[in-house]
Amino acid sequence: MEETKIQELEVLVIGGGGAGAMAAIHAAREVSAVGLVEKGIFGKAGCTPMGAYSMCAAFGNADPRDNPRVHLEDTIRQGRFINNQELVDIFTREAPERVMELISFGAKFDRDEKGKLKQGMMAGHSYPRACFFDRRTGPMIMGTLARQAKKTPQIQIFEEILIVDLLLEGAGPHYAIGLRWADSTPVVFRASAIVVATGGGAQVYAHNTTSIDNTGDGISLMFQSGAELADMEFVQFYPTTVCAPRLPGLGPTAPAYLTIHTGAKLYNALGEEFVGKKMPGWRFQATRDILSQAIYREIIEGRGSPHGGVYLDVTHLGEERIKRETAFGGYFDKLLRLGVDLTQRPIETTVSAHFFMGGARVNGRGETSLPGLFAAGEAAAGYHGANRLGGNALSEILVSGARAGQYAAAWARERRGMKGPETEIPLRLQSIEEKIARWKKRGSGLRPIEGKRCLQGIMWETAGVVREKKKMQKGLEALAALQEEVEKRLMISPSRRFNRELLDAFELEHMIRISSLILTSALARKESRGAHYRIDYPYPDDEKWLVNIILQRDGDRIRKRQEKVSFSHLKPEVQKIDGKEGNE
Amino acid sequence: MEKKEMSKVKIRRFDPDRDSAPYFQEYEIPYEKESTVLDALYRIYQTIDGTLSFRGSCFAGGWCNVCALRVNGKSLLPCKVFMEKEMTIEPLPGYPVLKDLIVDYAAKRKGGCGDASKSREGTHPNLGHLREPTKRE
Repeated sequence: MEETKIQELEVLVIGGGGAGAMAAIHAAREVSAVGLVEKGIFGKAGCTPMGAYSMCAAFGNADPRDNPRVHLEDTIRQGRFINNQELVDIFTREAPERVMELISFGAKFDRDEKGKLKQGMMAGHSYPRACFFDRRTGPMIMGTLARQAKKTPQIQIFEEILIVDLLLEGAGPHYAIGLRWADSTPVVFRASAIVVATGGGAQVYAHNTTSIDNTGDGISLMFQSGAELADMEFVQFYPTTVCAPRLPGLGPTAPAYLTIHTGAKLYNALGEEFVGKKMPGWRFQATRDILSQAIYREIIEGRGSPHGGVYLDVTHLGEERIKRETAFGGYFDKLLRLGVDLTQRPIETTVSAHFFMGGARVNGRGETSLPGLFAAGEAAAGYHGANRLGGNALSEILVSGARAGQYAAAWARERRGMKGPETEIPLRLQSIEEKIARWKKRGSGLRPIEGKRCLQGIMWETAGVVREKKKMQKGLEALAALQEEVEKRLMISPSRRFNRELLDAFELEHMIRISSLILTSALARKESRGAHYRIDYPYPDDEKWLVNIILQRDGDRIRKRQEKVSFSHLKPEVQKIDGKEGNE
Repeated sequence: MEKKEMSKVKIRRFDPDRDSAPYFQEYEIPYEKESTVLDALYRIYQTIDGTLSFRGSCFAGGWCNVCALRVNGKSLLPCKVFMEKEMTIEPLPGYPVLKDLIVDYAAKRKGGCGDASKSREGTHPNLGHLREPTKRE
């Protein structure tokens, strides 16, 4: 075996989305050797470039009553009171600062005639506070951050490298082992501090809105390394995603634009406005958890549209009003060219997995439970509680990314010149090589993409929008069976260059692991709260369940414990749903 | 049962480890009018040929722009264009081909082949002009 050169760094950031880029940029202000390793092409990969519209920060431009405190209250209330309130406080106070910093990097946002940032209204927020750049806010932000990172000389960028193993030795230095997609050769990174900013893993669901690289790699690797995870049961489902017709170019969540600022109608196959009837102001009040559950119920109870969705209808508005009043206006003509005329027919829209509220348990410095291991963005838990508000992700990744980068660098600076044991590296490299050889040697068996499809089906059916004990137990059994198949029969093609099956194989392992964590956590929470909805416990139970479920690896087992939420900034209020309380 | 309409897809293949020159390989997959060209590639990968290499991240129509290639002689983003009943798919012209449909985005900008991972200049060109949706036939 040819000896693998070790890349020496002070801070290694894994993941090149918005949180990772921000972490690298901030770390580079404190230390001189920062590495950013990305599975795809930096600036293009991950979910940040897919953020279409909103990035919330309480500037108060649209309504002077808005401020970070109101933003905090909205975020905690709609997170159903299990957010980490210290994190929400940091996020809401620092979000405006980070947006201004982004502008100093060259970011462009839509502005009003006085030159102030325009702020749009999003469901669940008390005031309009969404900054945006047309409907391409995410690509603009990612482009800005990537340019900034690339012109920072302290940052070295490593692209198309999949991290397959972390080796965390006490207080460090730590190691990460990657594989180059281009030629399958291993790369070893050594750094005093590692920031994991690999996003969530909504790809474990058959229907999802995320980029295909969103497979939970970092969450899985952190768990394997012994870090504590929190809130894994909370997966956000986006209520109004593309169903029929396909709208290529508009993004998976595009139908939501129709509901912003208009009298769009949402109805089932019987023509019933099933949300509007109960909640006339649903467009601004129905948060994603409530709307997803309402829509999904129509679909599974047989009142859905032919392609498995419900109808979203603006035909009654006419062309002029659609163009003027909906956030869809700019797309109207593009859609006509695709043969979709919004004045003639409703579109079908459906529910898809969108975002992980859970991830590594972190504090305000982005520190996980392991020394020298930091997490930011969707890979970290606590900011969004049981339900994330629209527009809070793009601003949270800036805040959590900047903090994790800054504190990781401070950690690394204190440990300059420290040496750590690297005796285990050759062993780990060998075991990775042997595993790949095993996969390649099998002439027949389970292809990783088949394994992924199987897993996505299991998760959609058993850990989806509506959950119940028996189904979830079946889900865990099915995952165990799939895991066994993977161990005995997984095979990949032998090619060395850009082998997609090699990526899929490692991703599948991560996906199985985080899926079992989601199900374990979801089974433990015997109530419904935010995005976690159980028909066997349909109501929130504030007496028992204002807690976070913490998971940690214990050999081959999952150790779980509960941690009480600290209400340092906002006390919980009594929650009533349909006028009822209690699960008994 | 009604016979499914099929689509003939010719893809330019090249693996420098085993091929002395690029060649075309033909695949047949079901034609679905609401599937994009990228969906079609993914379907070939998933159901017929696990050795096919191509890029793709957002799969949502022009958000990440990494999947750019050439279909029936036109450079485009395959995630924004619906599939056709006959397609010839080639790598994006003007860049060195690394394998199958994967090109070295870094090389063009630097004027030669280099280690993409070391580039600070960015390895991806601006493909904004490929973003406009294409009419469905």
